Amino acid sequence: MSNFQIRPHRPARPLLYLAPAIALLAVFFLAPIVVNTVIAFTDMGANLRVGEFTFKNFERIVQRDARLPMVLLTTLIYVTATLFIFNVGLGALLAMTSTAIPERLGNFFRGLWLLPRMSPAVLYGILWIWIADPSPSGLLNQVTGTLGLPPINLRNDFPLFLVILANGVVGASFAMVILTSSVRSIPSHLANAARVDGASEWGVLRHVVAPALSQPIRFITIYQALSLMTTYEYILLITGGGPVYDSTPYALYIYRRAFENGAYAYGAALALGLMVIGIAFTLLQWRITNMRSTFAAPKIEVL
Amino acid sequence: MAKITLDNVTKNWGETQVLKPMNLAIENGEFVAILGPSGCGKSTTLFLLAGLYAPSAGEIAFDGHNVNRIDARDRNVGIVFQSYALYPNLTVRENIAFPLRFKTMGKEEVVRRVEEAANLVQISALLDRRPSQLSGGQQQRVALARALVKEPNILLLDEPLSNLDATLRITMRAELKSIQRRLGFTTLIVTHDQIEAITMADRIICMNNGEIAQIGTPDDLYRCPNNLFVAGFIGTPPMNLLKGEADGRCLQIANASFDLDAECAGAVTFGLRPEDIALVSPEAAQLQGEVVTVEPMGREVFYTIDTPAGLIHALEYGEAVRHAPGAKVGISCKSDLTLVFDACGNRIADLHADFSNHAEVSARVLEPAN
Ligand SMILES: Nc1ncnc2c1ncn2[C@@H]1O[C@H](COP(=O)(O)OP(=O)(O)OP(=O)(O)O)[C@@H](O)[C@H]1O
Ligand SMILES: [Mg+2]
Repeated sequence: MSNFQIRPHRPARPLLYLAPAIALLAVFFLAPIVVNTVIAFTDMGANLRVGEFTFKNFERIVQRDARLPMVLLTTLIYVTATLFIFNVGLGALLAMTSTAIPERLGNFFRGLWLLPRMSPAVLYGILWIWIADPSPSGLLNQVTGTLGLPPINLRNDFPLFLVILANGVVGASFAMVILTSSVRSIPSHLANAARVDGASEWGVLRHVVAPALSQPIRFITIYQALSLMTTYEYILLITGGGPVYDSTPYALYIYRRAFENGAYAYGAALALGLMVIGIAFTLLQWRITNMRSTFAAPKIEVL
Repeated sequence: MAKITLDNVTKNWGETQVLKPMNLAIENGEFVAILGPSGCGKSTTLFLLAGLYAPSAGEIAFDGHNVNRIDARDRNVGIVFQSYALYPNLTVRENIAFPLRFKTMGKEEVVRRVEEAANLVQISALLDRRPSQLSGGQQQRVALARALVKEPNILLLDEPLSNLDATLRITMRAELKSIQRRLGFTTLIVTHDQIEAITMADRIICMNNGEIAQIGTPDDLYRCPNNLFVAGFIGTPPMNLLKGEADGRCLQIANASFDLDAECAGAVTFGLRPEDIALVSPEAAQLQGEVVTVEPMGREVFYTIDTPAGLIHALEYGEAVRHAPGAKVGISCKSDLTLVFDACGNRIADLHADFSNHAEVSARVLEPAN
């Protein structure tokens, strides 16, 4: 007589377990895309009334929107500069330096860099407006004033630079947090082995630390590139996209067209474009970085 | 290919001194094993030699030159870490070739050396895998190949064979020893396996609590341990240590008394190796006991005997089990090399207890006991 109770084996039902997630995706992601797509083919304006179904919005994007090339260029500069200089570059630098110094100091340092992310966007925006204020009482101009230089009007003369700087300083903390844990998870004996094998400290960085960071950096690059392409709240707060359209990247352009000009349908059509760019970009990255190879087999076998 | 000298070297981590002042001289080309319980500072000692830790005080010298201020990468030391420390992003081939990147060396030379090292540790078939695709023992051999490939002056091995199966371990032991003889680098090996230490090493350093308890040839440590720690640590099964009281030329252990060959007084500990014990009939010995367990181990039989002086372990060679559990036996001694330790745990030189005399005559008479 055995003491084992034999239970009938029930096959797992993946659909049942996935249902809540699928429902959420459907309501909050798929439905808006469908609604947006429909609106893009109408002439909806600020009065929310649909007069006719039409392709006019797309014609306008391709043929008659004179601002669009400039906006696309701005987007390219804004996204690549913020991404590589700050969101990845500065983030990685912060992660490496803050883990090389004594632990408490490092934590304090990282805490400081996280502050703007934790403070409300409006507060952060106001801070930058104060820093860049063209009058002699602006923070930057107080500094240039003591050096005997003429006041600078950042928001007017270098709006894109200001926007990149403001977004980068916040954005770097994301990579900093993720890469800090990556650096921490490198076993210390690996660096020691490299030192004994003849590597200098620079060699340790190159042969031990960098390989360990390459995977998370790929992830951060995709993730942050997409988020930079689609968010604009700091830009809206600090320069409002101006002067004129000088610091207006694509996402903000959609917002301005839709809500400043009341062209809802046109905004929806532009948004479709952003979606296409986003998907294309993701697929490209997927290919280039061979993401699939980083997927681990499931630890639990579901029968 | 380097003589190593440590002069009062210490290592502190914050307040705690994990290595007490250490003096040590290792000859050029010597093969030395470090034995000691977990946490006694074996790895720390290796890391100090490798230049990965800086000594808190004292001087480390290679061939008479102070190397305290020389970086790990300039010491030409090969090291196998306790945890292997293979580079996860490199293949086995690249791992082994890694130290050669930092030397000026032709491509063919690199390939030749890598293959030679891989052959030596029998991993030629695995060269294109990544460390994550290897078993523990295979990783250990890759680590060994990586340490050997640069032909170091000093080879430091932190339990390099611990994950190998018994057969491979014996092969690798012999292999390592012959490589070491051939290339002549000074070698320090940390191990928990006493057989490994005894078979491979010219000398053994026995460490305890951040201190060297004794340095000597395997035989020294086994036959003449300087203190109770070494006596109890070296040898499996461990030495029997019996508490007793000495008074003049008489040693009292529980209800038995033995002759001493020199004057002594006070509390002492008496040491007796299991294989030096002869089990005789109870009448023939001063100290008697009852057999508690009997463990036949093939070539020998291992007895545990309950005596008034505590549990005593005895080994008898031969396959025959001569005493059953519950049998009364007398404890006698085959060897005249018995050891006496003072109250502080240090061996009293040239003092032996005469354990055997009394029993010898009668033991012969009563041989077929039980
Ligand atoms: N970085 C460190 N900071 C503080 N204490 C440490 C550090 N490294 C080691 N120690 C301490 O130093 C002592 C010696 O450590 P070590 O690694 O040399 O032991 P070991 O003899 O190699 O032990 P094992 O056989 O378990 O490998 C231990 O008590 C350990 O806790
Ligand atoms: Mg260790």
